[in-house]
Amino acid sequence: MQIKKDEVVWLLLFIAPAIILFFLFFIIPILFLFVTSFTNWDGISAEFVGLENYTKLFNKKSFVRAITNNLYWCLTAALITVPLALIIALLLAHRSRGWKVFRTVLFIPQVVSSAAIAMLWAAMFNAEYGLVNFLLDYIGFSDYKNHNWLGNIRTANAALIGFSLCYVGYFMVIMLAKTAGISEDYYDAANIDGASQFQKDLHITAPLIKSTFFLCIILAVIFNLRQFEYVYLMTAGGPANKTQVLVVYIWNELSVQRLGRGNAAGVIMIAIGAILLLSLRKLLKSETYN
Amino acid sequence: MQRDLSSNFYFIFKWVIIISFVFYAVFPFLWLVLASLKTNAELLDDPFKLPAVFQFQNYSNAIREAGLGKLIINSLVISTSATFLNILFSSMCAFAIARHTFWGKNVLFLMITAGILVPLNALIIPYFAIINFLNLYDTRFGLILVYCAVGLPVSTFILTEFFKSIPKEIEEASFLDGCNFAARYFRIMLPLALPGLATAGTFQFILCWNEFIYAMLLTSSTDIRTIQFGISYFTNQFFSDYVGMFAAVVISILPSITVFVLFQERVINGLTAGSVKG
Amino acid sequence: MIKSILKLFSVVFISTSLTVISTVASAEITINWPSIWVGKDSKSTVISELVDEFNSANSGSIKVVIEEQTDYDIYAQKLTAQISTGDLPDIFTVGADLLSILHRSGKAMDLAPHVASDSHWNNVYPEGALESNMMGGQLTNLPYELFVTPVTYNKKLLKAAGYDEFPATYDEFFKMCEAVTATGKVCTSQMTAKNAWTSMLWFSQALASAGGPNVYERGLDDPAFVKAFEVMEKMYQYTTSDAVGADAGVSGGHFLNERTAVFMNGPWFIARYTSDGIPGLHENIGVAPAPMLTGGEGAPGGYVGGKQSSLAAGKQSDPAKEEAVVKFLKWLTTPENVARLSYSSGAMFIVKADLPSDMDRLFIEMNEQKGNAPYVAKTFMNGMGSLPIVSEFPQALSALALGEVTPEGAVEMLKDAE
Repeated sequence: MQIKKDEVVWLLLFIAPAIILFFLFFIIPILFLFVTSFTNWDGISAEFVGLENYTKLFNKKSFVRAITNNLYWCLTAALITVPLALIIALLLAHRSRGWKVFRTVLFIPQVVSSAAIAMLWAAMFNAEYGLVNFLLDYIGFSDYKNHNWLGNIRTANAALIGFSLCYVGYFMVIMLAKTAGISEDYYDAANIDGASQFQKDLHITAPLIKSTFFLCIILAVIFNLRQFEYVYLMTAGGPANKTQVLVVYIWNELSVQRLGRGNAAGVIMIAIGAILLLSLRKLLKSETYN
Repeated sequence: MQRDLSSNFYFIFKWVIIISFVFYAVFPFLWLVLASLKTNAELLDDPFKLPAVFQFQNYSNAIREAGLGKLIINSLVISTSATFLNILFSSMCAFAIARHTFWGKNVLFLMITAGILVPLNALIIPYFAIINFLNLYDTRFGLILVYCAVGLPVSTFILTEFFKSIPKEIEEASFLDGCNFAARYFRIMLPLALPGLATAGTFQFILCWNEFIYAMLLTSSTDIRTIQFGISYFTNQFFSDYVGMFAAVVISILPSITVFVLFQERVINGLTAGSVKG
Repeated sequence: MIKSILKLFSVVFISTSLTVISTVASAEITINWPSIWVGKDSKSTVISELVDEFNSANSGSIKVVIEEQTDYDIYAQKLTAQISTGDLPDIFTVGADLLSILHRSGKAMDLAPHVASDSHWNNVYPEGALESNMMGGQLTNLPYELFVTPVTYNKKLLKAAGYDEFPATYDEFFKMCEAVTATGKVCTSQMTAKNAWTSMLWFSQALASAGGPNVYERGLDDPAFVKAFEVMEKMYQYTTSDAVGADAGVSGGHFLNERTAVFMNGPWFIARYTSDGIPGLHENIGVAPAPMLTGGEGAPGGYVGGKQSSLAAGKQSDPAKEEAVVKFLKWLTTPENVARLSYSSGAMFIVKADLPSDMDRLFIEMNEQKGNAPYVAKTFMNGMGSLPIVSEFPQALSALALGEVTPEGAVEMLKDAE
């Protein structure tokens, strides 16, 4: 809707709180990150060092590793997490008996403190007494009896990603909320035509929540780019830096008081995120974002 | 109703998917409850064995030792306030962006969305300095403000999407009826975007509820600290009372689940039950 | 529906804002102490008793308020933020990781004049202990808690493998490990999560044994580092299958449940042998100095340990408050109070204190062995003097344990971290 002259004040009033908070808690800190990323700031003194932090970072194997790992995480978000959430949302949208219970249950991991969930999954994957190995051994894969899932270079990332799938409930809830707004009229019409449930899902529900699906993909990709807690709590980037991700890397740099370099890593991360965000918007080309 | 082969297959597929993810999601929770009823020695021996005797006193101990009652009340006050402010501000901004064209709109939206990708863990020193500058260190309002701001990008992003999908005709009709800007927002758009508000509100509440780093960084008095402090009470550098911690975690989950059920069940179901037809 | 939700929210919101505004004013000096000795820490009970006693003795004039810091990582980040942007807390504890930045900040109170003017206070410290902590003529931290990390082993499991004594050299030690493995048990508990604590202690032992207690002064080029990693490489052949990635709970849990025979940790772990171990574990435990490398520069009986946490105070502009802070520091360091802390927690302190004779048997053994030790070498974490290197250690160790790098390669990984 084109804004009328006499409503400009209203409009400003409506966007002002968000802009003020955004300026205070995002713009200022990011400018601060940007400026200090060109210094060797250690918390007390800072000297201008030009691009040194950036060149050093890109020469570190573990930092490059963190970037590639993050890209894997993003890919998983778009190709596995959100599609799975869509499937579950579509199925629950049928509202068959007990669907509300399932919705709540699937959301539970979201509300449990991540420290506790990480401890559980670390115990599940444990090589000595973990349930995963016990089950694999039970169904005949005896090679895996003492397999150290999180402590093995080949399986650590896969185990982390497998664990992260228990959080699909987040995106399921967004898409499910969107289906709530779909008018029953559409389905009534389809029922008269004798459409099967699968056809209704495919031809009515799915197209109507397409833009929400894209929104979820963007959210999931960005969330996985700033992935911190699961990795920090379960592997802290190990073994041998093989599961390193950007935010854990940044956190480590800050803990060892290389604040300038940590902030440079933060700037790089924001830049990668901005590129991802812009290209996703182009790629998905949803009318929602025009 | 008759089922053909493919719909039978679809039926099975549906339940296999749902049931398996329910296991995926519910197992951690059951384990947590079980683990919170063991002794530490039993837990370290085998995390998956049933306890010899159910240690229900772990719960009363946890509540007493860490003072969970007070912490939960603090968390409720801080999380509800921050959620209310966050949803108010972000829905106002989302309404302006989604339903109007004005100069700089795309830049504004893009910038706020880009806020999602800011690594919050990297901003400890700036946030500490800003909150001190505002003289809000060790106040509930300081935490409320930070949580409100931190959740702004995600909430605005989600709400814009929900506002956009409301049919234009409804708003135009109200415009002709003489509703001004604020009335269109409060009377027409908010009720129609209720599923979105409930969803964004749930996420925002859980973000506030589970946040730990800034809760410790920006406060110093136990009087205003949150439930996550109560959970961390049981672990430290050299000793962890895991069962105490798990009991605290189980207690901490209940309010979040209640909020979720309340928002989702009441709001969304109330909506689909009748009033609105797109 | 919306209206009622809105109403509820606004009531909650307004009531919060009101409580925020209320403030308290008083003439008392308030000393703020962010303390990590809270919650389930073994020192928390006596510390809070000491604070209460101090407050009631100085009621009306000084009040110490504890700010509970339950998570060390976040505490360290917060202290860094305070050091770099604002004022320091009145009193706080610092680990070795923050001593240098604290001193350079110039925001810490210089305690040297206060110690010099009070011979009684100076005398509670062993000779030279304070001088060795001075930096640039200033005493910006007061050494307080100490620790040692000898070997603790399960006599029962060793006996089953045919050993009555703990071996004195690594050659014998690894032979013993073979024998323990043959009995169906695992020899050592190791870990690589967080700071790889237990394994880091073993590494420190091997390092001191290969290069002597002053090995850190010579830097990473010293061959002792490669030798120490060689020891670790072998050590990981005799550990549990979950060692890579294991945290303190997992590696400690194995020893508490007699799945492993040898463990290394500080005196604070002693109480857990009784509280969390399988029944009878405490009686079976022996304490010994770590083995030595043949041909190394270390001496038999050498110990590893050092400063755990030190006390520090922020600079004060108000002399009355400075006096109050110093008064409280003196209260924390009286021999009587330190003895109480030590007795209740099993922790060791630098302050000379008469400990009760009924201290735990293992504590007494550790104290005796430490007294007889030719040296107490620093841990790798405290001795290296470089946070980036220490932080890379778990990654280098796990790479070594998984065969990704050689011992030389592991040292290279540490060098790259700088």
